Amino acid sequence: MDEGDALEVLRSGAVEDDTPDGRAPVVSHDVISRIALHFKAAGWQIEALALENGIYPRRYLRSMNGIGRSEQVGMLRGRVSQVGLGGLGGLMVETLARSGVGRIRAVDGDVFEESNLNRQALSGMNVLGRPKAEAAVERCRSINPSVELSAEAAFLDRAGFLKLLEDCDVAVDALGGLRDRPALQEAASERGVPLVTGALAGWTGYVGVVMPGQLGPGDIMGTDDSAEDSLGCPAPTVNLVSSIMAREVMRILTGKESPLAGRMLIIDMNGPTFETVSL
Amino acid sequence: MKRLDIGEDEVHLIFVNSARAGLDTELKDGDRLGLFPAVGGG
Repeated sequence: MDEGDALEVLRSGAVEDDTPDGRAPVVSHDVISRIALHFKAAGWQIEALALENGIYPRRYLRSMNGIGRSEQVGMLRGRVSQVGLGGLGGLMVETLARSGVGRIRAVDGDVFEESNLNRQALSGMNVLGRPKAEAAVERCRSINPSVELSAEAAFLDRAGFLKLLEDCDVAVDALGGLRDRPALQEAASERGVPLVTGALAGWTGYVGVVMPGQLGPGDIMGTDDSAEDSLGCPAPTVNLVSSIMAREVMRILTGKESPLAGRMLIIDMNGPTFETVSL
Repeated sequence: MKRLDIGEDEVHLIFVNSARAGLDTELKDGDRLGLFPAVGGG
């Protein structure tokens, strides 16, 4: 891609408008898509180029009071590898796609079942029986075509996790159940990437960030029976845990240290109480 | 935990005053104790 040429088309397609940083050129999604197609680039590349040159993609304007220009560029250029596209992972894809995280690599070998409908954002009557990976790709495309989501319908072992985490900036543990979590945490540690993890049972849950080599929930929780088998997974807890995880993913992609590194935020929606515990 | 009828194998994370602690941690008056089971739902 010739960035100079792309920038010229961006400038001519932008209109002056209000932004969190005052009056500035603003560009709409149709212009972004057209330029991406013409220059055979991904939408996120065009959006990052625009922002780096003071042109604001309209779709992110309402986030950008809280996320600065250079931070949004960091997210657009960021790469996330995510395991799980169920409760936590489905909403994660939605949130990251809306927020403009450029590249997401996800994996989940399941198909949607009726018992997923109570909480899983990507599930619906129209996708029952279909792979979660397929639904994720479609959903992401319909929300934000600038985001490149590759989703594989597979269950991975430790070697598979290592491959999935190659060349990523953040790993996301959105698994259901405890069995595979330690292997994912080890793989993230070996790859030297931060792992954002979370889980829940009933009205309680936790979110943690594990830096390479650090102790994490994967070392503590074991791999056997866990409390969700008797307490269930209601949608409010799933969505809260997923949202807090997404915020930490975004924070790490913008180059900031996570306050949850080496800690766990323990959530009890009955209280409600939030408590941070150091591990 | 015995008095509360909670089995040792059910508790995976113990924290006292927001820091991870162990079964042998001595409690003082006013300490806040948390017992966390295995939680893995998503």
